[in-house]
Amino acid sequence: MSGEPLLKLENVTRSVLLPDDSELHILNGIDLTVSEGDHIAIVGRSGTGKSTLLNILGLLDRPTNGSLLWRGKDATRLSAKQAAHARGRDLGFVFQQFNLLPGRTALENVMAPLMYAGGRDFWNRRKLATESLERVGLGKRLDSMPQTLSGGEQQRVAIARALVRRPRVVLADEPTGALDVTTGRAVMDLLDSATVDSGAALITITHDSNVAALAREQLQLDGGRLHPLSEVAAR
Amino acid sequence: MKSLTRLGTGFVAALLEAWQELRIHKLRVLLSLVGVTIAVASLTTALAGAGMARQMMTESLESEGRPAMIVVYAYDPNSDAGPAGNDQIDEAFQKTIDRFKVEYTTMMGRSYDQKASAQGLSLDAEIMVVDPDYAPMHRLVVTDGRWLEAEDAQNLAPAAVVDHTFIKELGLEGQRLPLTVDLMSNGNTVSVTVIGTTKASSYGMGGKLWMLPATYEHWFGMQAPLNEVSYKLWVPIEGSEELAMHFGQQMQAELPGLTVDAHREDYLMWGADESLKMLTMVVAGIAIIILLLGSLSLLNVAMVTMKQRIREVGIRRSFGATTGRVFFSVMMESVVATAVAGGIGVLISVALVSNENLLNMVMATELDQMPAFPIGAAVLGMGVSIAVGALTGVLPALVAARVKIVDAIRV
Repeated sequence: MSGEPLLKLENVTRSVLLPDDSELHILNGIDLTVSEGDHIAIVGRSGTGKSTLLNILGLLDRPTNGSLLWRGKDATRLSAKQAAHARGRDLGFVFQQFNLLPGRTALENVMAPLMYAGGRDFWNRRKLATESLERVGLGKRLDSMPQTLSGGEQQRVAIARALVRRPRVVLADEPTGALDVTTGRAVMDLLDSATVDSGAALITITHDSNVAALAREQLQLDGGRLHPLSEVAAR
Repeated sequence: MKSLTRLGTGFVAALLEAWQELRIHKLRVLLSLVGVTIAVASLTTALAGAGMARQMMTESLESEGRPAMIVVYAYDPNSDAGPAGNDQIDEAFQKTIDRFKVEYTTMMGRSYDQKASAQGLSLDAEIMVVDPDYAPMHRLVVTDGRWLEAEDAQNLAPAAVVDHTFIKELGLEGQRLPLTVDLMSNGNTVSVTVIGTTKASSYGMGGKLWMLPATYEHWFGMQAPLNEVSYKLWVPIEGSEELAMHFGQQMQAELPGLTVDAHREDYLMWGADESLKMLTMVVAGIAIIILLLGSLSLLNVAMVTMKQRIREVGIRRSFGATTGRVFFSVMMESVVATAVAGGIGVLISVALVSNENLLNMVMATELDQMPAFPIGAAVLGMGVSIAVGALTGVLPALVAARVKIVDAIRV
């Protein structure tokens, strides 16, 4: 895809202070460019910092050092409020445990992000949420409670919720982690086709190489750095 | 304009979120709000009860004269006799009220020398000799028939209005007006026509009978001169004391040889309102303590619940909820909940206070007229419950706003 990158990370590091005052370096110089329509998979073993990287990409966390550009602007300088607005407007999250709001129907869950949208999107939230659920094949389960839905259906509700505000980037954190192989595959197909349709970039964090294989670009997080998966395999 | 619209949308959305949250956690909300509902009901009932008692007391006190009431006496300083009335004093009074353009005035004479009788029963009646303005000046309400009019002085039979005690003592209850009763004074018996009745007086044991000065003078003046005579003026409170002074001076000028005394004489001058104020404060104080206890239990439940909702807050933050929005939404949950609880509390209070049987039981008396529920108490009850909601919502809202998104999502 052409045009300005949506996200550009240069030499991003992230470290945390441990109780014994020592520093734990989780990310050690990440370089990554994400453009419209990209489908990137990031694989890595547990504890390699995949979620930390996703948090930085999703403007939920800030890098310790390095540059993070969000649509050409320095995202490290965004105020908490600006970051929240950017998240609501341009980013969609899909979590491993679905993270549906308890006690709310599928429709209410998909309407939830639109409660933070202004103007037309807010007032048309029911219509938009219904359309989004119809797109993921749940048009007949609008009033179902999360606990009455299967794992695959719950994740489809989560995908409908992530896409309802037409984000530019969808961040999926182990989206098939809680699903069986067949359902996981179906969910990934759905995520891929939905983002291709909308032109959004999809970044999938996974430890499953089969899921990663579905992406057009595969990267491995190892030692706090990103490497193309082909390079790692060749080593 | 755009930011204003966004603010408005945000407010509506926060209210909707709060309502959704309450709908989902009905039972928890219901249990946590029982205390607030009871407290608001107690507070509103206490204030409404005190307000109604004040209204009743005011009405009772105003039966002695509505503020500002100026009483004017004229008497001979060289005589032991009390204030008297005669044509000269009457004329001086009329001349002075014309000069000062006072709208409501009445003569006020009393006689205790009459015995009233009917159907073989009799009682010692207190005769009040007054002008037609006496009724509005003393909040006197005729419950049956009508009040005296100036034209009644021309009637062939003396017209009178009596109170309920008078009717009861003479066994005339339930009989239709006009009634005829006999008034005896110094061996002279006159048949009086009762054209109206009022409720029983709040003070005095015997029955009361009101008639016009001209009527009394014509039928009883010779046999039983009035024991004491005064004149009353009902004027605006502001400047009433200056008016009393100037009125006295002016009337004095009309009555050389007599002493004229004009001064304010109504319950506001006696400070009778103070005891009731104290009672209201004590009852309201107790209700506020109940409210504080109710709020503490509400706060307790809200804090425990918030700890269990950290993950939900994190999810909302990932949708784009700002810190301010999370704070406001959580606080609105508390405000909406206590507003509903307050509304129920006020309704309970209205149901209790407007219950005539219950009120009669509490007051240990038979009320003639149910006082209206004071709107101020209902508004205050609602206001207090909303304020309690805002105050108890602040702490859980702060906890929610300080949640770290990254940690919250993974809880």
